[in-house]
Amino acid sequence: MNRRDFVRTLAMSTLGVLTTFNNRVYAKTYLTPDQAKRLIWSDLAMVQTNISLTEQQQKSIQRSSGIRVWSRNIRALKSSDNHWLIYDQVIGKHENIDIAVGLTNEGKVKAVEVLVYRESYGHQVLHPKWLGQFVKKSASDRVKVDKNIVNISGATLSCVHLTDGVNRLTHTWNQVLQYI
Amino acid sequence: MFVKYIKVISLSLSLSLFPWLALEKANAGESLWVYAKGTDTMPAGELEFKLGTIARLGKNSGDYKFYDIRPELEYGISDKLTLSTELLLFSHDYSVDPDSGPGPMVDTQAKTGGSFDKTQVGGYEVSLKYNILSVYKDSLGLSLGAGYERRDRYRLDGTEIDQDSFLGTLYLQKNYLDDLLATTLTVKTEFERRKSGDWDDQSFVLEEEIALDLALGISYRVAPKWNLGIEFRHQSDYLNPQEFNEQGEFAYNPDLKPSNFDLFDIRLGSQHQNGNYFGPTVHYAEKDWWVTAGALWQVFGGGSKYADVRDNKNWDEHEKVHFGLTFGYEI
Repeated sequence: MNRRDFVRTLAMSTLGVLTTFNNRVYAKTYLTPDQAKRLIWSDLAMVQTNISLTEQQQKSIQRSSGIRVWSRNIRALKSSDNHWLIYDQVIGKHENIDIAVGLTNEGKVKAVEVLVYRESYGHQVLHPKWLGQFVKKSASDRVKVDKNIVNISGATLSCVHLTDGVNRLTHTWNQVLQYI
Repeated sequence: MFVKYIKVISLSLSLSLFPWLALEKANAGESLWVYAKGTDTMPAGELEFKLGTIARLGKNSGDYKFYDIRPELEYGISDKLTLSTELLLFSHDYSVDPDSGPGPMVDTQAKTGGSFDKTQVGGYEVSLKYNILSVYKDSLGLSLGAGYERRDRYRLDGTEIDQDSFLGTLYLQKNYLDDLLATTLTVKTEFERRKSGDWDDQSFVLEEEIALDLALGISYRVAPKWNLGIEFRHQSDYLNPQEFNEQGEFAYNPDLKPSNFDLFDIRLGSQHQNGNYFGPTVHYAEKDWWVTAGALWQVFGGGSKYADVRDNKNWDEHEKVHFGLTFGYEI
């Protein structure tokens, strides 16, 4: 077989193999912020309440949660009886994962929803049963993978960063939001 | 020379762009460096296609270009166990000065009119990688690898050989700053048994070699999708070739200690050569594909009195610079 034939054979074989297995799931937007609000808090009236943490608050949350606070800006909605909905991002393999976390006026997680998931692996964290593990958890629970949150093999990075994000936000409520 | 370069680049690009242009797009578990590898394994049932090309350019004299092209498929047998198979394509284009020797390239080009220019199928490799500790939730990521490699062509000069290698690899990875900063150490040991030449004309050589390939990488995600890093690579081998001496006896070199890797007798022989490289890497990942590039320069090298060592660098088995380019696609 000469070089040209070899390259042609190799390229066609590769294409054949790749075509056979071409059935993947892609990154996408699962919920808009409004849809997440309706899913978590139904028709509860909430107003935009964006917050900028002070440097001291940022350090305090980091200390108590053990999780780095990358941004001091919090984008949130708040109801008159002090329920919260926080739009946040956690680190993914290549890009961030957009999430919405509902917190009650007792600082407990009402629900966690994934808005945009940009990774090719780890979609298992979108399963309601996995996300349901966070419900009623608060800062005192200090959620952690393999401790009180079950890890999903093959989706470890997403599991760890989503859990860390919820842990950080419950401590944010504990340190800051409950006093607003 | 330029035409040859274009041909090799075209071969690499055509192999990599084929699936890219023809298929819908997915995402990747990727390599951030040229030689160093992380501890990640493929999720169960996932398949990835990679095309790695390393251009090894420049000796201490003459003109030397060698392209090591490796199409590879990786498959997740389970979330912790990955099977990979790769084809070794060697593209040589060299004409080194006779006073660079004695060395394999000088010997080979003497038989081919002063230069050597060929693209060949060099062999194949099959390997397994098993993840023991996750870099994302344990304090240190740890994976182990084992593999078999078959070569019919010598990487250095393109001559016909008969080589079987067994590979063992240790992967360590530690991440910092919420996994934005990745550090890794890959230690690969190869146990090679190589035969070349003809017994009848007493050109036959038997080499039992233990080779060490160590790579250290650091990479930081400077922006979403973008990683910048640096990489250090050490490669050395330990052997005492058996060949016909001036008395016509097939024997070891009395100046050197042989390597041995029989089941109950593993010995590290004399170091024949070593090369050490350092340079930057860049990595870009999209949802559906990724690419990693790097340039590693030989910073120092050495070897035994039988190796070609000049200016504190090794030239018989190592080059001035290695340019690496790898494309990856999830299938």
